[in-house]
Amino acid sequence: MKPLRLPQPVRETFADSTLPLINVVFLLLIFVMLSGVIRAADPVAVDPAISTAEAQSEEFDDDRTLFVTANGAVAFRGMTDETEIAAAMALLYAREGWEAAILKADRDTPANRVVDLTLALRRAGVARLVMVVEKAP
Amino acid sequence: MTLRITIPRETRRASINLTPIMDVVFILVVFFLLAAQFADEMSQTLLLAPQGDSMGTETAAPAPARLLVEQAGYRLDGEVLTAERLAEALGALGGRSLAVEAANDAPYQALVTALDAAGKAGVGEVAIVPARPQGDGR
Repeated sequence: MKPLRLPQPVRETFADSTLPLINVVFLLLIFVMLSGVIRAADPVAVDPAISTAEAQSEEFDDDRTLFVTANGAVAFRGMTDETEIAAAMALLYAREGWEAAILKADRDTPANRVVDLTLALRRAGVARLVMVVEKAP
Repeated sequence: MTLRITIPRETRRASINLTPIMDVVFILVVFFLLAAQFADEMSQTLLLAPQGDSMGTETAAPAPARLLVEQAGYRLDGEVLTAERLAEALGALGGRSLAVEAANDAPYQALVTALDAAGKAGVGEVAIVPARPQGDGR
């Protein structure tokens, strides 16, 4: 006797297969939101030098930061002329009572270029300089 | 005779279509990945010596040790050192202050590494001084 074949119910598989994926993507989203920092990109491309010193992470005010690129070009509040920048930084430093000027230089910048800049700032009256470095992983 | 066959009824749960929410979440992930910066930044403070004298005002203190930062290594008072031995040598300085000077081809990274080592070795006073012309007796 021929067996009776009944139509099998079609199982709904759609929701089951995407739920784990959604969970993973949500976790990814939360991880990225917690571990990253949203901030404005630097006005010029700078890969800060890496430091192994133990210090707290900090956020720096771009308006107070002198950026130095790998080829030695400088940028501060849209200015790119060195003497103009030194004068402007010294003026702001004195007038607005900054506790320090901030310098963010690329790790491949010639060290002497940075030294010359710090000397120029010192001549302009900046007594305290904060160098922005990247925490070693 | 009656044949009783029970066919299981298709259980249709009320399900929400999750595809649009997935799209949105994916776009959020991509946005955060692109916009977030993962580098952890911190500061290294440098006190700039007063104008005039490159080493500040201490005149009675012993002469500062001179650290020359070169591309390949370091030179402390003329003695060639590797990056590994630098901390040790700086630790042996005692209370002497340190004048850091960079050779022409040295990258800024080498200078920061030297300042790190000086900080870890507990060197009291560190000043960055301009490079002297090459070949002045060292």
